[in-house]
Amino acid sequence: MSSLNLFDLIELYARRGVDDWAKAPPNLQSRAATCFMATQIATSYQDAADTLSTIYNGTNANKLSFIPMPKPGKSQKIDRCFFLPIRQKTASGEKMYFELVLLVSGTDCLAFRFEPADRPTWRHGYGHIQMNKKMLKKTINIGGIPQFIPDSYPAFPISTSSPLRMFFAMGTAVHGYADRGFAHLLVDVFQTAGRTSDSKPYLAELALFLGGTIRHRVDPGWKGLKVLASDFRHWGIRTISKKRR
Amino acid sequence: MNVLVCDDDPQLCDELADSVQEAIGEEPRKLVGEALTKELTNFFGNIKGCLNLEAPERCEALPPNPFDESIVILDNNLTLLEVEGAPLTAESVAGYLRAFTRADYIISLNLNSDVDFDLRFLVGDYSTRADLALNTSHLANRALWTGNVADAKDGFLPWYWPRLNTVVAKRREQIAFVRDRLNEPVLPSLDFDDVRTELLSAHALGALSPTAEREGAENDGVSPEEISFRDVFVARDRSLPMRREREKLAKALGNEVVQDIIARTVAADIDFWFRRNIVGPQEPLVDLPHLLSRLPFLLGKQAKELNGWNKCLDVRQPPFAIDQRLYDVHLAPAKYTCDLWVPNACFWWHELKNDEKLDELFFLAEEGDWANVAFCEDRSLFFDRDANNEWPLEFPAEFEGAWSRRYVAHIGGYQYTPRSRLAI
Repeated sequence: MSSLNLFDLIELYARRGVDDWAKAPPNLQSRAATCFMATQIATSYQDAADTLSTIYNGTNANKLSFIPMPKPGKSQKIDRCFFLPIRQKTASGEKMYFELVLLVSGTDCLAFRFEPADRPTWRHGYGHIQMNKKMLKKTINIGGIPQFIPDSYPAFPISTSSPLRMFFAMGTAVHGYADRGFAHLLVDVFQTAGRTSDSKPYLAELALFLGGTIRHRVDPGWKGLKVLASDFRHWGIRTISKKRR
Repeated sequence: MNVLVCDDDPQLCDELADSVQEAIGEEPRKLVGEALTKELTNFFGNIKGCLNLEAPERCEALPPNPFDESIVILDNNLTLLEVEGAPLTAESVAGYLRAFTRADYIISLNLNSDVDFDLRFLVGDYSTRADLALNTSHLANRALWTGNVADAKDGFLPWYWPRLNTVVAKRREQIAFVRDRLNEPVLPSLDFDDVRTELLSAHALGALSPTAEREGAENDGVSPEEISFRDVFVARDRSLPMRREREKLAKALGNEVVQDIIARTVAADIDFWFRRNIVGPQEPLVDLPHLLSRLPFLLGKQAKELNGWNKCLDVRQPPFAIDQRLYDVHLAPAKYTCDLWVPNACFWWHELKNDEKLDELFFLAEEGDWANVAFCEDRSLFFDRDANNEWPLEFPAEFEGAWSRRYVAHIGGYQYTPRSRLAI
């Protein structure tokens, strides 16, 4: 059984997004092109893979593309979403965060940043999400974002600085959780890759992170208790093995 | 089994016959050199009446000939035959043989000897006008004839190969099915209602008829639900390449011989349409190994062990090693009922996907309940993904749809074509 691998997951998720984007109506594609530069959207798996493997150093923004997210459901009233995974070297290793752009309707956009904690003594010393006016360290201007929005506050806590969990937070924010939401999308991307069993650890991690109930439609009672106990056991095993490493 | 091998070269023909005999234990009939030239010359002379554009209604049945009621294996290279005009190939005669003789199934041999396994569309060679394109070396593989993994030479048994010991009966059923419905619409006859038709790829619709157009399109094409079997005959050129000939024959409504020609031609086309557009892409129908890959919990406790996955492939009758109640309640209603068109039991995927109870069962399964396996298309078996670093190898097939990612074991000594797909 494979362990959790964020890059593998994003690559599969991006495949679905790129495929959906290739089938998007021309009108939607041209509207997106007026908000982004057309070349800033990943149109192939390779564009997405290149984005994911790039360590951003302030000079190589041309290697990064906004990755289309899978088509949202009609009830979500958002035309399409795009995300940018950004990796940066830091003194202690590597930091990763995500920028998210929603093409809501017409050419009206909104943007957000999912960021890990800053230094403990700083005001943003906790994993958080905030609104965005300019992307990629304020180097990319996205048309259609209202300029009145504040982009430092509010900075909502997301209770994690783990890149995988930030990705989960972003995916769930866009797709919802159950009922053809992000959990089903996770299943879907692994099913289409012929690797259904690999979806299980991600679903368990997602449920742990969100306190989600989809696995067991948690009803009080013996069944729900059994599943919660099993979750706890998995959490324990994972924590112990992490500590050993 | 009535098998006829045809070649221009006596020595090569003997080799083909030996390969067939090695696999099925019976010597096939042979038609070689001058005898083949004579039969083909007579054949093309006899069909002129039917291809007479002035009076196709006068088309008469051909006299009995060696191709009737057989699996005909034609070597593609027939250049040594002394015929007038351009040299013959299996590809140039296969369609006419299908239309005008009672040959049951036609195999084109060595059309492209570089292809042992087709990584593009999982059909063999999509360009062939025969029913199947193979190489000489495949004929001696007993599994080609039986479909049994245990018979597979070197373990090589592409899942897309038909079982040759079943194709004759199946093709006769298919012809009878089409013959009874020549003027009826294809898709409803094949149990595709509006929702299911909506799930067909653009390629699948285009392959039925170039004028097929989804509802809501602005042009003046034909609605897919209205395309009749007779329309398919006119639209498809795999058997009779000249459209004018097909149009004339399609109008000879009172001639029973012509109706048989149309039925044979269309049955082969629809069979190929299924393999290329439905069974290959596994959408909107899904067969058992691919269904289990998507919903492993259907196997119950067997899903923990690799053997459990492979055992279920040996079961060819419902409930296919799946829990009887689960099968009866959830899978049986989604089973594809026109199963003479598919090589193995198939199910409507979107109906299973939208089944809330199945969805709940998926999420109830625990991490570790399922072995980490992949279905290897070239061996027709599941293999453990954790046991070996080099394979199963993932590759993207070339068809439309979400299910193009597949796996092969990549057996040494066999050509997987195009190799470039293994590197994507």
